[in-house]
Amino acid sequence: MSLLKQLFLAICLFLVVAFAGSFATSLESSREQLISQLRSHAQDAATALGLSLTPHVDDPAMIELMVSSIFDSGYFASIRVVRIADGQVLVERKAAPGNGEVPGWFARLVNLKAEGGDALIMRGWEQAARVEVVSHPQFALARLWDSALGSLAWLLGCGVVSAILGGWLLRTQLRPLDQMVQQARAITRREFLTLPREPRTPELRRVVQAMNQMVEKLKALFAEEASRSEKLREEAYQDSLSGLANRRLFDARLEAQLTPGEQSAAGYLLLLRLNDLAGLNQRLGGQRTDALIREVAGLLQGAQAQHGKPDWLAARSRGGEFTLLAPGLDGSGAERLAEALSDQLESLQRTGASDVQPVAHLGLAAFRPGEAAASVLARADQALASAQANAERPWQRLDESNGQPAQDSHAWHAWIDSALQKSQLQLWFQPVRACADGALLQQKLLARLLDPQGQAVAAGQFLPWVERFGWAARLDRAMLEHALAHLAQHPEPVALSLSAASVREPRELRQLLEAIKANPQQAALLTLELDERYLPPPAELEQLGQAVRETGASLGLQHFGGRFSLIGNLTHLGLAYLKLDGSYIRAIDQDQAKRLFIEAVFRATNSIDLPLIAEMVESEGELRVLREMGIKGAMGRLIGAPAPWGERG
Amino acid sequence: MQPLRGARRLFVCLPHLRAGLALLLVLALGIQAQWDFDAILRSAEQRWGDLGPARQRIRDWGELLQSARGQDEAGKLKAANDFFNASLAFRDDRSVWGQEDYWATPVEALYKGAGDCEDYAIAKYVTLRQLGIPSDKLRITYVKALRLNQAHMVLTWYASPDAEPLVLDNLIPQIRPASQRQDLLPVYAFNAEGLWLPGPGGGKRSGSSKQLSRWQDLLTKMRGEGLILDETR
Repeated sequence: MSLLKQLFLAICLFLVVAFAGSFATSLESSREQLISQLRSHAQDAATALGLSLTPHVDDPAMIELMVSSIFDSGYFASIRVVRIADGQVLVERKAAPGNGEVPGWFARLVNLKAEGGDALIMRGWEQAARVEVVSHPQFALARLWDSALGSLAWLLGCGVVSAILGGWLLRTQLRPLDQMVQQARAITRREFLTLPREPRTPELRRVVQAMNQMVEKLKALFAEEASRSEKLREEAYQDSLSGLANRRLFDARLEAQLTPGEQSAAGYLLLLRLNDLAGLNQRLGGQRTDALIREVAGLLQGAQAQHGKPDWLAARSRGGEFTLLAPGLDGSGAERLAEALSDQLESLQRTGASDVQPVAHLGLAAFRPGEAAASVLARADQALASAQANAERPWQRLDESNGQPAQDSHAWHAWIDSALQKSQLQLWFQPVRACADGALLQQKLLARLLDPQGQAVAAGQFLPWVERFGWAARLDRAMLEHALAHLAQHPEPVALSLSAASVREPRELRQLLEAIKANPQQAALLTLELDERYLPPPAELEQLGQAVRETGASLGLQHFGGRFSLIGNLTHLGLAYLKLDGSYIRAIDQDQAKRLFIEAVFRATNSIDLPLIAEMVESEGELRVLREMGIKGAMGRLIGAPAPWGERG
Repeated sequence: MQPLRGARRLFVCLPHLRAGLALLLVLALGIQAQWDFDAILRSAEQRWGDLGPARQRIRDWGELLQSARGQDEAGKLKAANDFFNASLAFRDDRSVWGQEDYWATPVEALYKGAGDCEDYAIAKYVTLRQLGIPSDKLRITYVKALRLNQAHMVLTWYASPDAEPLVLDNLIPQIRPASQRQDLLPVYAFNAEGLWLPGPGGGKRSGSSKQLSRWQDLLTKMRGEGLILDETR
């Protein structure tokens, strides 16, 4: 029972006891008073009757008349006149017993006896007869009953008033307690809120202060660990000169991109090499060369931003060599990109940043999941070499000779449209298991579209097209419908990705959240996942977190790359977990830098009890290292490959 | 307010308890409870200071209560009647007590050495009751003194309930049967003690005094002086 209820009950009980006690004593005292009133009433009537009968002592008719007059005009149970000489009853009048309006149980409870009085009737000096008068207690009973009812009404009135007042008082006094409960609950959801207002009650204020202090401490600890891990990330994965990713991150990403998996899409690798770097160094000096390198880095970042592709990766591998990994880019897009970059590089020459023509050469190589990184890199090198050899234009494109025939945009458009319309969408499931004991934590929901031959096509293949056609939110809606339907039949925790488009469009988001809210039972099992690369600004993210929590679903982050600063106030978000991007997990057992970095991320998240889940776990060695570190869950081909519901292993 | 009332009720009960104990003693020893006249005199002195000749009057009354004990009822009647007719001078309440109508206890009357007709009747009644005459036989009677054309009060004694009573009066020194008192017109007699109670054993006298009457006030005053009347006899 809650504290509020207990206090409330105690007050009610106290009131009832207090009022019942005072009620009983007042009943008792008025009973005493009534008894003496009854007695004096009877005595007075007897005396009066005795006096008035004395002159008529030998006139029986007169005696009867007088007794009747008194009896009929007053409240008496009986009046008797008894002759003293022989005890004979001369006149007797009796009223039928009855309690009138008063219920029988009350009369029995009060037990008001009839009270009597007597007086003598004289004949001269002789005592002729005796008058005996008994008052009827009915009147007294009725008065007692009325006063009992009155006190009961008063009791009830007071009870109601004090219940209302007491309830109000308790509620206002205990409001800080509610807030503290909410704060504690929020902490269990990993939302670290401080109570802005301290309650006036000193006891509660101390508790609130202690809670706030603890929360602040946890936040500070987390902030410290997060900034440390971010620093480590910069040292390990960032090129200090250009601010781009370094070779190590590029390798990890290329490796992950080529691993056949959910997100792995085909695309282009762009290799950019500055022309005559050694000569530039000699002629322009190190500082101007560095400036040129930063300019080129800026060009690549600009191109990435212009295409709106946060999942592309621009990196500087070494010296004057840059790479741009562009999954989802097709042949003609790649050529347009190379053309644009070449133009911008030429303008660098005109501003005097470089004194050679062309400023740099570009090699473009197509890649698709399943290829080896080395062969893709070799192909890009080969393209670059042919660009250097060819003076006509500073870039060359080289596709794999036996590549699959590229489908045109029209075919994809028609097929995806019809698949979405006919709902030829299939849910596939990939398990997420605990690292420690392999227990199933959740199922990741993946989209498959059925092609005209009835074959399930992985998201990596059609997602770039879905995004290009602006149907990402549409796909999200369809996925959510399927997910809710699935959860209704198989209630176990699932995770569902939310596309960047859905997060960006308030209307789309509202629609999705309302659909979730309409199914509260399913919502509790659902975790929506945001991609680190498509995170909205921190303020919007906080609102989103709030909105998702209100539906009853949870919010998680996937493809997390340790960039805590992107998330903003992680301690206010109440995230369910972070899924670590596969690039940082692949071969973690052989790469000390990855391991150090992930350990730093783990320390930060562990300080606020935020679980980590590793993506793309492919080997026992990786799993072992993750388990040693204390990472909570893992997913990947080692743990379980995606499969339709019926075919899960 | 309420608990006080209850407490008062408790205190009121105490004299009854004492009366009950006294009755037990009487039953055990077969003698009438005696009044302690030393204590009575002490409390009177506390109240009035030096009693003067009244001291002897009260002592005489105590001796009368002792000496008349062995006599028959007629003797007791005569002793009480003579003693008070001799000891008290007839004066109205206004001159004695400064009040229009004052019911004095026997000690008060003896202290003043004077009283009006009620005081005589009350003092004789108390004396006779203390000498063992049952309350059933004694009546305080309101009469009209025809010659004086005045309201008057006497004590009457009934040998049996329907008998002709003897009149103990202060207008004449002798006790006379009622029929010989043509100068008095009886108006009303009341039974000073005992209360008739209705109910299954109807018609029986109860042990409790009449409530809310002047008689009750008088008994209370007497109790304060050390004169406790055994109302159960």
